Amino acid sequence: MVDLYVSEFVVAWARQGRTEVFEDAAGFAPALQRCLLEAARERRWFQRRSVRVWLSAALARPFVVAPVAGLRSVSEAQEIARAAAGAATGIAGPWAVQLEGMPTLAPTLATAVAQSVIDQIQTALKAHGFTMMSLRPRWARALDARLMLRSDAALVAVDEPDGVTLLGASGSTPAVAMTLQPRPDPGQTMAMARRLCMGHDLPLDRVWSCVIGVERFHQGVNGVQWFALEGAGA
Amino acid sequence: MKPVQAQFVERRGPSTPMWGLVLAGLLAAAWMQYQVHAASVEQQAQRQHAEQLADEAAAAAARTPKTPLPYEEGLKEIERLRELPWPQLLAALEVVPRSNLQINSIEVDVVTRRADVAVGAADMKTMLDYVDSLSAGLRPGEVAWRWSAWRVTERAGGGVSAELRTIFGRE
Repeated sequence: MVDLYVSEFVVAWARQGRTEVFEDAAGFAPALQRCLLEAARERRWFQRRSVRVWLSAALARPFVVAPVAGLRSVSEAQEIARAAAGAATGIAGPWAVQLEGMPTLAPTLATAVAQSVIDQIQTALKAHGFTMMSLRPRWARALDARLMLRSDAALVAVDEPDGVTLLGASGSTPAVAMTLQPRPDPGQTMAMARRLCMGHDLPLDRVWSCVIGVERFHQGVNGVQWFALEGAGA
Repeated sequence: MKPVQAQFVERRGPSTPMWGLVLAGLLAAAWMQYQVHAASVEQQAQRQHAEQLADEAAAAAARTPKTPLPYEEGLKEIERLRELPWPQLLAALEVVPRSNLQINSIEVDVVTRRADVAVGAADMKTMLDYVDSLSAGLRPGEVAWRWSAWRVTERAGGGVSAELRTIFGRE
């Protein structure tokens, strides 16, 4: 299984204990082409052609869908989330949206990706003989890693090269979900986290942030250093 | 907070040539299951013995009288102090503009969750405007405190001094 990280202008490929980084100022598509060319050249006949794709903060953006009374089906909820995605995330449509539940009674977290991004990645992978097995936001993986260690986290900031993802919840109800782009400096991110906590009544001692760069993409998110806004230890 | 499950591509099952391997895998798994079952019988006996030892140790620990820590009261007071919403209090005092008014001291009582802020103002109106500004813009559900003026006295050299009081809590 090959792991691929795709951000706005950078594509990274985890291979043999290191990360190959491909950059292109024109966008991720040319960088992805070069990356896949190299990956296809190095692949042996017995190696799997499956690829797991991880999207960056700028390409996969979370938002909160407000509760809507009277929803009857998942497809209705998807329609509502899709209709809200443009205004909530700033991504140009059409969108692919994934909901984390049914927003009938409580706000629900959703993630939006431009359909064109998915299509471009899928087409490029297919052209080089690879199969996309998974397409997920990388910040979701980082969040999972954090929650495995600290399940009581109230607000998490995941800092990536092209943006910062902020996710906050009061208990299990999502309260904050946003992408900060262009990427602010850590001080600004923490000031924003502090303001969000005060606004949504979230405890400041359960705010965590991490920086996940491209260079160590092959190491996953397990070795990522987490920082507390205040109080608690890592 | 819950883990995010967002997955934009459905994972597909094994391709047709892989079904043979899947079948072989299932057979291997069945054989392994048989082996594991045989091993688990022995493990269960060991676990029961370990649980029995643990129960005996727990019973012995329960018999030992528990003495309160000498610094327990101090710990509780520190915990209460730590729980107070300091950032909100300081932010509220910082963000409200103050002209012709100065904050002289902040005193907090952790037991009654009360803060007294001593201020000096050029006149009574300035002081009352400041109190109104501190309490302004609060919405239901926000962490908020109502401020009130307390012990207002006129100073000999002009101006007034007062203690502003608030109780930490929710609206």
